Amino acid sequence: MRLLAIDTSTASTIVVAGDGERLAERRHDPEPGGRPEHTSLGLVLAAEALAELSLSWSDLERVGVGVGPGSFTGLRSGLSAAAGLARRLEVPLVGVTSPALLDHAARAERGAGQSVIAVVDGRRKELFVARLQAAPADPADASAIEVVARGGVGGLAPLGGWLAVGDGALLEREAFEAAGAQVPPAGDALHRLQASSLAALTRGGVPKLADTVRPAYGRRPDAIPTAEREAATRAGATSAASAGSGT
Amino acid sequence: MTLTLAIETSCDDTCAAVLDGERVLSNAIASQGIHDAYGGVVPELAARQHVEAIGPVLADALRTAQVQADDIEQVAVTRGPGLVGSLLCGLQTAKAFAAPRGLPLIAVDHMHGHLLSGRLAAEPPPEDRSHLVLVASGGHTLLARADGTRLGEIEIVGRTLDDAAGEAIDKGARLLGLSYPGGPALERLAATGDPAAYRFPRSEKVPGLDFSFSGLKTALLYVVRDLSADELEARRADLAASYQAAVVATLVLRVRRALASTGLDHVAIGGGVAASGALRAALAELGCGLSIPDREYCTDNAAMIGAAAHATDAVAYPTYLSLDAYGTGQGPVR
Ligand SMILES: [Zn+2]
Repeated sequence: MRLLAIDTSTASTIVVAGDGERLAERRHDPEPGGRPEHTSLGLVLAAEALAELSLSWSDLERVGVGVGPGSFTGLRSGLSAAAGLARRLEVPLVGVTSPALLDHAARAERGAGQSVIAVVDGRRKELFVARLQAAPADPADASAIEVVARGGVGGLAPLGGWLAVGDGALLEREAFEAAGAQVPPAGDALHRLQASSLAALTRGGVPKLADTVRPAYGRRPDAIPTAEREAATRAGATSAASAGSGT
Repeated sequence: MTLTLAIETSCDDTCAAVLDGERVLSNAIASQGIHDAYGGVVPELAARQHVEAIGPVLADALRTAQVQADDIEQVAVTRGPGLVGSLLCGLQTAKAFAAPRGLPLIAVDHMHGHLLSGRLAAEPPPEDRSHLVLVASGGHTLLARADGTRLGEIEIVGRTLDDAAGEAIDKGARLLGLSYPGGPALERLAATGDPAAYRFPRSEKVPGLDFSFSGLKTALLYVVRDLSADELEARRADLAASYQAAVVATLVLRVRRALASTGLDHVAIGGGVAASGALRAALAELGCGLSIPDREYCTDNAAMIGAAAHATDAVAYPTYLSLDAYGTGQGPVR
């Protein structure tokens, strides 16, 4: 199957193309604290990966996209590009969550029977956690993802026999290890989203209409409706209004 | 003529249009509405809505225009200024639409679109003569001299020193207990009031062509504060009519000054505030030529982006794949 997939759920921009035999991978990882280049590089890297396999856009039979959870803006940049291509080419779009990607790589290395706890740093002192005893049937399914407060990893115990992977697992290494989980060393590729997993899950995932694939934000927006805000103010609570004026 | 697909997602409306040359074949808009409960546009909510709406809006624009995706010859898209999280949804969608067939892409400045909205009026500005353009909306208020349609031929001669006209209207509406967005509600209430009941400042003392609305807003605040609840209720329509009249007079005063100082004799308008009936009526009394587009081309829309595309250089494939959006306060028009 000729495919292209994009993941922009982290600061990285990850692209992979496949022609059924070979994969062409491209990725951009900004320096720590550096600016993501999702919008300026996503489709540039996609064009490069296709060119490496001598494929053109119209050869594609399927498009895949990382749906997160992760950076809200990153998710929308990648999904807008991927859905735009799938829509224009009239091919299916496959959504893939970040935990499903981490799980796939871990299982590929440690065996299908490995129990995997995939942990994504959700920022704001939260982790997005998926406990997966088997590979998820639909890699776009975000329903198994739990939000766990930083410092609350102990509540997941016991995790004896589980492999904890992802940037969130590194943040809470001590807590995961105390709960019995194994955490690979910091530099291990299992903690990163990998292009090969993105390609495999795009191929094996559930094809959908482009317009039905949604980001897995994992969190509601911060906005507070005026009525709620006023009620909170009357109750003496402080609240931050995030609404601005239109442009 | 060239068939253009235009996309605009700079704020809270998801817009797509198809134009044949400068003739509008369709102008689809999904207005979000969800922000009303928040008293203003919430960027994260707006961006989430764009992701969901863009596919259906594109399909709607193509269907209404009765063209196939394969018929489109170029794609125009708003690159900025606006909410970056919203803009990039449209920008990535536009690139992805154009890339498979290697179509050219035209990255349009949102303000350029508003400045050229008058071209979509039943009587567009005369091609061979310079004219003035007034753009007034929730985010921008400016007066320009247009010697042509390209950005380099349009000179901004007046801008707001504080609030945008639409902001002033929203804030005034809120003081009068009207819900967001204030413009239409204020206009409805004003229709039953006396515009001469109160004399609000028009910032006449601000010289030249720049606008100021902060004194007006403060004046309303003082009047409202000094009225009892019963008095306020009885005078709300008069206050709305008088306040709206002051906003309109502030705008029209600068247009009149500009007509006098430049000797030009034609005015085109754009922007959501320009859609108001009171402004249209006041401009009609100036005695100059007017290009007043339908309301759907005044508020944010993709047809105006398609119109501006005709005055903007196209970017060839694959160069445009690396384009990024730019935010509020950036871009060539300031
Ligand atoms: Zn606008």
